[in-house]
Amino acid sequence: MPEIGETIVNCSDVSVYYGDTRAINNISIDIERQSITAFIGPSGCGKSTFLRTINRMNDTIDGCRIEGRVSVDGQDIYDPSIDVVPLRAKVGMVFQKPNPFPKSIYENVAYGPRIHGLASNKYQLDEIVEKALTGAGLWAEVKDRLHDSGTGLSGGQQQRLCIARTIAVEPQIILMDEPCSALDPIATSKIEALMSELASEYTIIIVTHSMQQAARVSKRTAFFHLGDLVEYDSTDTIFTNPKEQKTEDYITGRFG
Amino acid sequence: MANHIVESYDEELNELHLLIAHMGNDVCAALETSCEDLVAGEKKRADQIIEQDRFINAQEHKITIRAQNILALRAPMATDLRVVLTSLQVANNLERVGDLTKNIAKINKKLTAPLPGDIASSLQKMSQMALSILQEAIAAYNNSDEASSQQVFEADLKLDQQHNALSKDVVRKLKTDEDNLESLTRLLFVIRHLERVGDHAKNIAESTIYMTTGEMNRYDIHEDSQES
Repeated sequence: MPEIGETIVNCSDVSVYYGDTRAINNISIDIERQSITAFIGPSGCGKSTFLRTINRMNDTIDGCRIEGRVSVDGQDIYDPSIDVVPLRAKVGMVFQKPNPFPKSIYENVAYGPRIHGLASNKYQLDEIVEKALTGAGLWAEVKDRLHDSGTGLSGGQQQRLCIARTIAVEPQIILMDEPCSALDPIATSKIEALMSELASEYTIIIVTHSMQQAARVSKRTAFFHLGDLVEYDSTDTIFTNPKEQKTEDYITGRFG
Repeated sequence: MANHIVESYDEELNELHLLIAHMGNDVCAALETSCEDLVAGEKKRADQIIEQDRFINAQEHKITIRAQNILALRAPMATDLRVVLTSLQVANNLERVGDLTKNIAKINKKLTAPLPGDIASSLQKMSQMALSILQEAIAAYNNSDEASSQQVFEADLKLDQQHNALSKDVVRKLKTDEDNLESLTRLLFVIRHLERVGDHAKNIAESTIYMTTGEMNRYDIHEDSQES
């Protein structure tokens, strides 16, 4: 496997249980800083569950229990001293279905910086909103209607609004759980182009069912199956010459 | 390997494989006839062989279109991707052998006198070697057989030796046999063509190794170790 760049997320021997059921089996993985890593695998393989361990989104699920160590920037995020609110600002998340707040475009983006105290006055907040919308490639399309409702945007625009909302609080990592599966191919291309731009500044981890998408956008790909991390390598190796038969069978469409 | 969930995808890949197997048979048969006739001074089938090259070109065309469609419509990955890319390379090399075969038939038509006995028998030997290397490479491709592909490299070295020896013999004769100057010069091209057949067989073997293992340039490594 090619040398990994500087690591930002380190997971060692991570297992996740839902009640008595073990959903993730002893996974260890390093995620490279400022690059795009894709998690692929069939439904139920644990890729989303594993993604959600990185910002403790699984904490909200009753009966969910985690073993092992997940560290971001060397800090154990399951340490009792960790406050999940700043953690989730540092490790932001974009979901499958765009979920803007039922508020104006401006308020969708301003909400996070306001609650995290990132702006001390209206002028600063305006600046953050403009920067985030620009970063998400949406500013030109919405600058004249910032006070219209966010839910009135098209699906692709809503998803970019959610990305703007995420980057407004200056995260280091953006977790994306199937961010394009509800979007048409053009909106998907825009999000993919945006991801490539964002990767110069942020670390992106994307869960996707589209192998073509994983192949197009990511630098490294991890293949999950039945809660195991089967193979993790550079994306071109995974898609041209994987080492494991299970990976080969999955990416060539031989089992589902 | 297990079948694809989508059966029609397997059918398309199998069909691609079959097209190449057919093309390989046709190319080998034409090469065999072309060389046999040249050695025997028999010219009746030469035009037929020349004409048949168009059919071989059409086969390559068909394989390219099929491969293109699989690439565009199925977006093959891993082994499937390598199978499709290899089919293009193998078909291309077979098409080139088809051209060489056609040229040998054309040269045959132009030869006015029977070949000197010793040259004829050496040429027969060399053409049989070239044919058998090509057949070996095609069989290894058809069976996805990495080990047999490896043997093609060894066999080609022997063909190269035969090429060098026979070229020298012909050049020696050229100096003394002025009556046959034109025929002997044409014969040098035939010898060169047969040597090129070996190179195409080697390319096919290299592609087969890439298809089965994902490794490229195995032959270069082999060649480097021979030289050192």
